Amino acid sequence: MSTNETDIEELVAKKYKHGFITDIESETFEPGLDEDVIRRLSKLKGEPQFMLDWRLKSFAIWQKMRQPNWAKLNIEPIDYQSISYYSAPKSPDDAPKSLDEVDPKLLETYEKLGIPLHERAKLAGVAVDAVFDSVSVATTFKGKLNDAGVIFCSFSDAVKEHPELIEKYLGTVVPPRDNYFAALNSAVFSDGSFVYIPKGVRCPMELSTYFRINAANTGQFERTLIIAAEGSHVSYLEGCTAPQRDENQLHAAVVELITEQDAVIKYSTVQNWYPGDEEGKGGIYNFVTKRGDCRGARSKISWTQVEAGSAVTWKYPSCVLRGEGSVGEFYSVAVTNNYQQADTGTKMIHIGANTRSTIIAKGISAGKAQNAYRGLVKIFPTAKNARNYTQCDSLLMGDQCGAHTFPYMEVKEPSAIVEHEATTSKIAEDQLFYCRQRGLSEEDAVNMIVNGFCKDVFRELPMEFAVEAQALMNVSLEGAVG
Amino acid sequence: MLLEVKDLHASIGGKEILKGLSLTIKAGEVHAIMGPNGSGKSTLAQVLAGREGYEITAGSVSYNGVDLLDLEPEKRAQAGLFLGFQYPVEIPGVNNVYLLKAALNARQKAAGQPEIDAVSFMRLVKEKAALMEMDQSFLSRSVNEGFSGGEKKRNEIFQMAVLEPTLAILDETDSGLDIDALKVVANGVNLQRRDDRSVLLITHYQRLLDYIEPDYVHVLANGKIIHSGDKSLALQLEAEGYDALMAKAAG
Amino acid sequence: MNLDPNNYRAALANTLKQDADAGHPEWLLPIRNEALEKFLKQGFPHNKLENWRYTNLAPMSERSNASVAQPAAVGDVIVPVTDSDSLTLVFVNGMFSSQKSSSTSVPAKGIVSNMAAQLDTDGAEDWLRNSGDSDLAQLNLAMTNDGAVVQIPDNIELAQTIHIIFTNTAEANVFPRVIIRLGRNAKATVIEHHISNAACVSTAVTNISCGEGSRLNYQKLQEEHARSFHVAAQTIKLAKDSHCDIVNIDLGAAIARNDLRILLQGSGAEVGVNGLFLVDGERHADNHLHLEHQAAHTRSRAHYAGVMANKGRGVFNGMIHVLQAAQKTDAALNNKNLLLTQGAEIDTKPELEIYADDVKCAHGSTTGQLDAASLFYLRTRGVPQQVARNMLVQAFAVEVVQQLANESLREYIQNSVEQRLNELVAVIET
Repeated sequence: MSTNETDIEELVAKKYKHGFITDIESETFEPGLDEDVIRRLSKLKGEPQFMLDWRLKSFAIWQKMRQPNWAKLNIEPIDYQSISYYSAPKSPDDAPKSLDEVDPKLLETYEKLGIPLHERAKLAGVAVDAVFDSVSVATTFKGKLNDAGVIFCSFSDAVKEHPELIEKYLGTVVPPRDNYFAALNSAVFSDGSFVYIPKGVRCPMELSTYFRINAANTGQFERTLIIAAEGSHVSYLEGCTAPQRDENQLHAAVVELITEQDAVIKYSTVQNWYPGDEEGKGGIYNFVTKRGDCRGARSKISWTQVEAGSAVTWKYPSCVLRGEGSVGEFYSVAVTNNYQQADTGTKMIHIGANTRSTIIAKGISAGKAQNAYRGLVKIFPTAKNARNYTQCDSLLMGDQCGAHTFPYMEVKEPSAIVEHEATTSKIAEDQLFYCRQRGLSEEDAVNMIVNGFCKDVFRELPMEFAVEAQALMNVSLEGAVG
Repeated sequence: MLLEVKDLHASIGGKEILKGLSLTIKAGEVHAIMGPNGSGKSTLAQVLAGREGYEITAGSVSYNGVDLLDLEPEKRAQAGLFLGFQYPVEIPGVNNVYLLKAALNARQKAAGQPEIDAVSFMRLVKEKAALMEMDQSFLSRSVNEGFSGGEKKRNEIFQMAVLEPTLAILDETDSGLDIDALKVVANGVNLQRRDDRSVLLITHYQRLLDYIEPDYVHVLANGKIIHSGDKSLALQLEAEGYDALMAKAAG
Repeated sequence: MNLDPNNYRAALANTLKQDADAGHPEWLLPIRNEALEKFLKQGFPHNKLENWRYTNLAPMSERSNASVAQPAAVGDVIVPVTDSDSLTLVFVNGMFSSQKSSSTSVPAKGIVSNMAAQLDTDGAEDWLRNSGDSDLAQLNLAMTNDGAVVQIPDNIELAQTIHIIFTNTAEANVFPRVIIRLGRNAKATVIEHHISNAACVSTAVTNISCGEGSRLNYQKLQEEHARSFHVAAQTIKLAKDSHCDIVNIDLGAAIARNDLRILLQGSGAEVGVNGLFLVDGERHADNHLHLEHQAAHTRSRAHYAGVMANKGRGVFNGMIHVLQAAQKTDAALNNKNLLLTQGAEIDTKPELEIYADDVKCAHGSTTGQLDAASLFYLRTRGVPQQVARNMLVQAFAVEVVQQLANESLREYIQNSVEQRLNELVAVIET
């Protein structure tokens, strides 16, 4: 791993050299983090006092913590004082004016992904539409969502327009002290999404946010909060489907989900942050805390993720199964190539009786990448008849990569049943030969088999995401065959 | 001449399996190769299809005038060579029809033909599935996954029907089939017999040849063809056994 | 937990005096001193270490701190059943008892003996120095009074079972050591058996090396007193084409910890491990299995069964580690657990760490109730529910016991397991 501190310093320096012009300088903070920075950030965003207090409390907690080192990751130390914690979007003058100015390699990737042309322009950061994407989506369908009583807006707007909901729910699933990166995020998060689905409402459409567009400059610390009231239902898609510019950057998001009785949240992610180049230079450090709290009886939270990007991913979308009969699901495909490192998995915490959880994790490792599944299934003595099924499969491509499985199971209830199965292998020679005998090229055969390997996860994705995910797999594994 | 195998020697892991095998197949002919276990029948099929791991130490294989041994497995397939596997492979998550479509289009592309459109493809697939008396539900299932032995073999012949090969090598297609399944499979092959399509049947038992009548029968023993004849040779074998013939050949 | 170094140094002085009295070689002294200082620097492992996440050795270190003295007193010795034609080595409170041991008829150039009697042998220093990396290996090295040495020359097949018994009758510390070395194509069956009727503190270390093409049956049985502590570590090195079958059964002790580390160093090496831990009362048993595939074409199979009841807590950690050179590794590990009552707990963590691509590795773990279909089946045959349950629990455990090679020992362990389970299941039903 050749990514190091200097890269980050360089990145910060770059921002200053190229990223800002005089007239917006006032909206840009010097690198470094202290209470004053947080006060300024909060003031700039026009936040109420409780929000500032919460940020400061989180900051105090963060200062007492140390960056964890238990994951099987090889990360150079990060200098948190050399990062800028607030920066306004790049001036439109600075962004590429047209697709002609965009890195052709990036465009090639979009082409392979089958992303439509106007979308490609947006993704490449061309100044087509300066509006924050999630807001624009919300605007487009505002009428329809309003009629249903659904609140879907940026986190900043939610703090202003629905402070009572933020105050009530924020940090109740992922408290600031939960972990180092959650504490940091709580202190400095810039924006994100807020969703509230009222009682009995089935959200009339899939909600989606592409964090990509603003992320190049300000999206390192997003916060998402989704509340599904009794009997409601929502499917939420989170896309980071485009590579970012060639920058090495820390991304520490927090996602909190809450389901009341009989409510369902389905949360799908296709993560394709910039993974660094073939030599492992650059790429995103993706340290994300995602947790769902099934508070109500028979409620359900389902996580589906396709993790293809980032230099380093560290992410464990989890479910706290509190409500009786509540259900947690985790479907994951993590693909790593070149020097990427992924350490991802889930925690299923069974507290209520008759709670059920399913974990399906598929890891694909190629090049010099390391790919680990890390998970915890915990059954409390109160979780009568709890049930968990876990299946982790790893596929290795090439003899320089690694695949690892670290499942923890802690069971304190005799009526519970916990099952775990894991396999690691390479693509079977006979499968490959069979496909080639039918006339497929080796690369097509590999893609087909790998996509088949991931089928159980892809089928959980909404249709258009599934198609994108499949294409993404093929792009990510490019060069891994042979 | 469609296929001309000359003095083929092949070994695996340093052990020689084929020891100078020669065989000539003309367009439209059906040949059967019979032989005891370990004689090299399956090795021949694998070597012709291009399986890795076999070392060709001597001899040549010409297919339609080109050096077959020079081609990657998929190129052989695209050139019309089809192998019906003795043990068809299960590929979890890969849809049966999806594989077929990819295979067919790979062949179209190799032949400089346009890709087949979805509607005509489905029509073709349904027609061929009916031919093989296959339930439609098989089409959308993962390749061979959870299929019974008979279903897998039927699926192989169904794939052959869709891909329309020039030379079909059927490796022990009869093994593991009950009599009803055998009839369906044999019928599927017979319906596909054409003047421009050759078939190489590899089998241990004469039984299959009751249903698919070969033009020629060869006996393979110890890596070589020791005897060739017409279909009556199969009956003779059934009656006398391999040992007698091998003794005769040795004597 | 702070150690009192003086306490340990005094105990070591005592051990060194015994060494001198016994006329042991001089190289022993620096080795022991060095080992103790290493241990004192490191201390007892604590919960913050990932490997000790679920097992707290504080009660053991407290006892050990209070008195590291090793016992001399011999009370009622329990010697478990042995075959008349077994070669038995019996150690009472850490000291070899020639009286209780069987006269040994050993193949030429072979050794089946107590360690103290072999310290003058070539290579003895190496045997002792190579204590392995386990957390308490240095403590064992500093303090061990005696242990067993088994050395089988090339091409020798030993028909008799070698039965090594460590039996303890006093509430004190013991430091058993076992060394097993098999030559090329040698073949042997060795049982390491720990049994006590007093609350001892046992820190055991076993080092095994299997030469090219050798075959070893190695079985470790642990039946320590219910208030004793038993922390054991085994390192097994397997050369090319060697095979090792291992059975590991934990039935006793208040806290039992077993670190079984198997290094498949030569191609074609193969290992099979069967483990059983039965944890009831307020007992705690922690089994760590580390399978390290270092060479190509190596194979491992592991199966561990855990039965927990009352306030018993079982821990299992099984790691399959495949190094980059170990292509064509075939490894499978399976852990099954039964929690019989409320209050019991299992913490299990099967792991895969794989750096070679052409491998077939799998692990599985299940924790749960008895199979409902089997239970129903038995009941349709007229077997009352309680009996059926008992049958299935027994079958679950006995599957492992059946792997014991020695018939009389198998019967003995089976009886003891059956009896324990009968009592447990009876309690559950009422």
